Amino acid sequence: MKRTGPVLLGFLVGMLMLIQYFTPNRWIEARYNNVLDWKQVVFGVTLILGVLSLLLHHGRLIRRRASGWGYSWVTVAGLSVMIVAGVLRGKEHGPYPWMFEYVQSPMQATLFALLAFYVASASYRAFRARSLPAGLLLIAGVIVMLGRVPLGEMIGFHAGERFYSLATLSDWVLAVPNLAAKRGIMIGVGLGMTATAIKIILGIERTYLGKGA
Amino acid sequence: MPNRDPIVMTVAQEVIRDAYAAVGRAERFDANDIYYTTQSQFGYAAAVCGVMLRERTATHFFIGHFYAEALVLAETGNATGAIQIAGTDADSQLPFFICACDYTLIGEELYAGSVYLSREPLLLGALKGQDAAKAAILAILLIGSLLSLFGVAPGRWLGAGGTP
Repeated sequence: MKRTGPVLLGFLVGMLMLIQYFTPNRWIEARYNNVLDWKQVVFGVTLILGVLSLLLHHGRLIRRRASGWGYSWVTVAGLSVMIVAGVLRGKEHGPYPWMFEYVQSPMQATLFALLAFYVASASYRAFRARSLPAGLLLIAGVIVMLGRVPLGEMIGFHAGERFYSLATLSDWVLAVPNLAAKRGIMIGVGLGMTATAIKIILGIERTYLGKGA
Repeated sequence: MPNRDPIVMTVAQEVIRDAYAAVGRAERFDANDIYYTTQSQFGYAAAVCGVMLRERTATHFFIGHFYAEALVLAETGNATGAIQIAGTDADSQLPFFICACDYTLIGEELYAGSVYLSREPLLLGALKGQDAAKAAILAILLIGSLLSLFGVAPGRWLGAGGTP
């Protein structure tokens, strides 16, 4: 029963989620909404466990004076201040929205902006033309990058009445070989997701229940 | 193991507990090693990057669906010199992982990974079925392309009003 129960529950809920997608039946829709409500309840409970695990983890780092333990104090202080601010004045007024807008949002934007530098360093490694595939990648990369800027629209050649610019070539690279590869991957992903879902619903794949399930 | 979803965290604790037990090291498992960080996309990325840099972790596994945080995580991990294995079904993030990781599971390989490792006949059979379905879709695409090339519109037979 320890193994059969979860597999049976997984089958019933999985089938419900699958069937509700194809039918407008109100009873099934109501059960679907029930499942979504339960998920919110489970999420709420596990969030408490999550915050507790975060505090325990950082508490342990502070006790051990582990590498970078000062950051653990920052995490615990940030969490505590936001909880207190939210409880005392609510999410709409007081320090909570202020800290969200002027502390958290700028920090997130900063990290997002760092992506430009990460892209540059990753591209440098990828574009070193040490093999044929890397060389092709470099050529395709240069065509697409130049094709996306105004300069790329000026570089090209005339063939009769038409002007073929790097922008045209860039569009072709994105719309034909790039899209063909992407669609190939997406078909594989779609089949993989469907097969995995079916295996879990039917109880063939039970690794989520642990070893020996 | 930092988590961004508390539900996944509780499941991950159980899975990792089983993994420790399976290799006979149950006493070394500590539930506090699998902890929640934040739901914020870049907050999570910052937390994971901090762990990589402070603890100089030896191996990183980036498995699942990723968005813009993929390159932040993979590049930081690459800078620490760790072995990195990625697997994602997010096609837009695949080039970043390929650039920054030692091994990358591309698309469907992510779902085949556990089967490849377990070698269970039943799961291998499902994988074969998946390949057969892919071959069938490929054949349909080829036939459709050829028919379209010769001016036949198969979509019209199905009432889709395809272009000749």
